[in-house]
Amino acid sequence: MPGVINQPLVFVTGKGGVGKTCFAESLTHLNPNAVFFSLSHQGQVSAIDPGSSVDWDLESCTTDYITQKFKSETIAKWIMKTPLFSAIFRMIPSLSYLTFLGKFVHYLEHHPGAQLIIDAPASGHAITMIESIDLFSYIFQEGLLFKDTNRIKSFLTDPLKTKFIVLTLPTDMAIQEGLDLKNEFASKGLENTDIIVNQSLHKYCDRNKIQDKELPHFLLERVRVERELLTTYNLNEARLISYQTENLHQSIIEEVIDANN
Amino acid sequence: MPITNNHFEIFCGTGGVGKTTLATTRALYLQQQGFKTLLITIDPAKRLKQLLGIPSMSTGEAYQVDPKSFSLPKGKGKLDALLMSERAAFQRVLPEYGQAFLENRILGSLLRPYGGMNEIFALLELNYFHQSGKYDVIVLDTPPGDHFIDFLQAAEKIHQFFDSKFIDLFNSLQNYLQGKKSKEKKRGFVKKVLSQGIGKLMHYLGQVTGEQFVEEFVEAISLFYHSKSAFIDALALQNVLKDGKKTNWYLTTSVEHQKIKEAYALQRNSARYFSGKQHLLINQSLLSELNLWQPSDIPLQKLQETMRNKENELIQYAENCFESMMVFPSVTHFPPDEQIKHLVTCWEK
Repeated sequence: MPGVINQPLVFVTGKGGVGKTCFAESLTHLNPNAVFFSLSHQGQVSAIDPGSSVDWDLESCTTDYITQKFKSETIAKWIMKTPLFSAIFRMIPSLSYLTFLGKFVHYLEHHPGAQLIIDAPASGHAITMIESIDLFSYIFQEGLLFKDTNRIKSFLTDPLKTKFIVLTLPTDMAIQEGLDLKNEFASKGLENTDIIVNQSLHKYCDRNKIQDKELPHFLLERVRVERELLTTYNLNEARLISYQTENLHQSIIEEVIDANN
Repeated sequence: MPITNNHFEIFCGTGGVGKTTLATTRALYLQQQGFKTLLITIDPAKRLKQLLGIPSMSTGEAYQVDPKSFSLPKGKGKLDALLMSERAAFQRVLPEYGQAFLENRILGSLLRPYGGMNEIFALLELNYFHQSGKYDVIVLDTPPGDHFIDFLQAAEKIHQFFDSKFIDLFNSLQNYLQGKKSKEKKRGFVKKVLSQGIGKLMHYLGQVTGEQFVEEFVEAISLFYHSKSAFIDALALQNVLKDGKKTNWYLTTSVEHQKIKEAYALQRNSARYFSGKQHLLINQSLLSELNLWQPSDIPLQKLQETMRNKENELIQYAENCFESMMVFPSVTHFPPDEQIKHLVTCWEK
């Protein structure tokens, strides 16, 4: 892994099933001040202990937010109860993303030194999440929410404050999609994105000192494809996480620590 | 196991497992069998788009696919492919309001790709082509993962949006808006509206979001309301989808993805929205090769064991929970067009 991750806000995204949750949880174990939050499985914490975690739900985040704005919980609760308001939230998922992004920034502003590791939604939803900032900034134009969208945006576009990790698999299509996502983020002003390739057989062979000649043809084929991809996309070995055969968290943590030494 | 042809063939699953590829092979297979087939896809890889002959930017139009691009015979049927476009879907379904929707700042933004309403438009699109009666089979490549649940919930959301409470509220909102426009009437309307609490809500909303937003918002709601029949129509489709006789659901997964838990959750969450036949497609299988391999080294044995266990767990799960299961071999050693051709033949089994 290139460099220590010391940004207060870290998003782990990528396609479903690439091991996002597990990787994000492993990061949480690397920093005693890290707090894990799963945005992709809202409210449901994984079976494996992620260490320190928070469990926020959309309704309480929204109520908190409105309470802050009007300095009245009664008004907040009343607004939340109106059918119009709940209908809007159900129809427009990007509004709920904005609410969560606001919560993250607010939390970090009030907990100096904390690090928030977000198990973010899969690629497409991640773009919706990021777009929600510009979208609502454009829609509102003025008022309190407009100011807040700008505050969120400046937090997320600051490379010292926010890092995005796009986790992917060692296939051409998966890496290409990872890079597309990175470019998409960059076009929204989010420059600090790292691509990490998970489940690498090449790295597995490397770590276990397995020679090419020991591999059967169907695996050698894959390992060769992976090596070509490393060259094609100019990816550093340190961005690879080995194929995991046991104790997922422990092996990821060891690799990340190795890469940092 | 033969899979009977139904009106809808819906492919769901997490991203990056070859869902679009398998949906394409299914559409090509049906075309070869003589069916008039439509493939609606969300976001195919660049190479697949080229092979299908659809432009890289979505136009919302259906393009005829030439099976020869995949080295397949001409076939008896016809295959059209369409790249989902929220805007095109909208203008097609609501020709009279389409422009007004796009001009409204709020709705126009939401109609962009990733604007957050894609699932609802996928449902509208599907309904439109279903109503057109032009196709024997529609193959739908749904948005990946949780998006799929959003897709299933789309009809429910539409329903909730137009429920009776909301309609009452809408009437008050419209009065509020008219009240703002005509000053003489304003006082009376605002008074009435205030008594219902709407004015208070709009006042707060205005403070937070700005006055202009409130006006555009009321206009947006009004446009939605006037075009509600298009949305309500799409609700009827939900019943067609629920009908097991009309729909095949393919949950696609790959052995490379650590997916069993999520595939299971997806299946469980989606069960309440349909009762069609559910099939599990396992893509990129190496099982036959793994079974023949006899590694001597411990790390290699561990690798074989892990890879084989992953596949066997998936098969076990499929046998317990699905109508049928199909295993597609890993075809990465073929060039892209031949990969598709090779996978098309798998449907014959």
